[in-house]
Amino acid sequence: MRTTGLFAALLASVGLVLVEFVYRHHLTRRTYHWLLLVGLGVLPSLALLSTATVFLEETKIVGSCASCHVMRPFVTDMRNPESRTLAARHYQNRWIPDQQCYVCHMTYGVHGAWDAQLASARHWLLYIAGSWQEPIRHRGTFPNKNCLACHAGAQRFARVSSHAAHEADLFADRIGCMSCHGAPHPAPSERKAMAGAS
Amino acid sequence: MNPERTLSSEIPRLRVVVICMVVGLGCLGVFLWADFSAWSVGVGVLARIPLTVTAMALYVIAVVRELRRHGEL
Repeated sequence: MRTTGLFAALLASVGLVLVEFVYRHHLTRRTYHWLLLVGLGVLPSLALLSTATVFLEETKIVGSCASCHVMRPFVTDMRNPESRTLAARHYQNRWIPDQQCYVCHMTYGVHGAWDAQLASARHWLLYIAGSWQEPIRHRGTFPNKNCLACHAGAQRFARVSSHAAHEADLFADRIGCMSCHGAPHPAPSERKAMAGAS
Repeated sequence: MNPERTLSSEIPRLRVVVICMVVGLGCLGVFLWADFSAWSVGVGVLARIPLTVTAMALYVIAVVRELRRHGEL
């Protein structure tokens, strides 16, 4: 899709320049307007559609999150074999095989994917505008259903007596998974040390 | 003068439209070429969207005026 977008953008640009600045006086009014319609409407629409499609997919990969240096301590920790944070364990053991940041942070449900994409766009805008404050904090909540979507019903999950004892509270978000399982990412002080070391 | 070859007075406006669109598509190309890196968002989103939207809006206005002038609308 990226190639399609690039090709459409390039073709439209070259075509528009040729039509407007080189061949304009050799064209009939009708031909001129048809060519402009293709160059200003059809090809840019194809390029924009292709970009939107690629953008929605690209923002799901870990490398996309890591491209902002403010996120690097999180990704570095996740990839560190020595780390025992939840994110690292999920990444190292491939409990989430791909797109780990997106899968964990996308809230399940109708609006989850949309909200996650909006959040990634917001993060990008904050990054390029340089308008974030350290230490960064997770905005919003992290509902248990993000964990339970995979873990609930698994035998390993069911074997833990406290899960059964608190099942109603877990599903109602009255008890957070992380209150027992620890922090998903390094604390701000650890992130600062990691950023300083890199 | 051949009326089919006569280009309307909307031509200067269309030239602006073409320039806006070519620059906007250039920004889009950079965004795609740079693999959506964070640095390219400023060019690829913040510059490209106003340019392409402006170009498309001006183009629609020019076409509507042109069609009205020729009594086709």
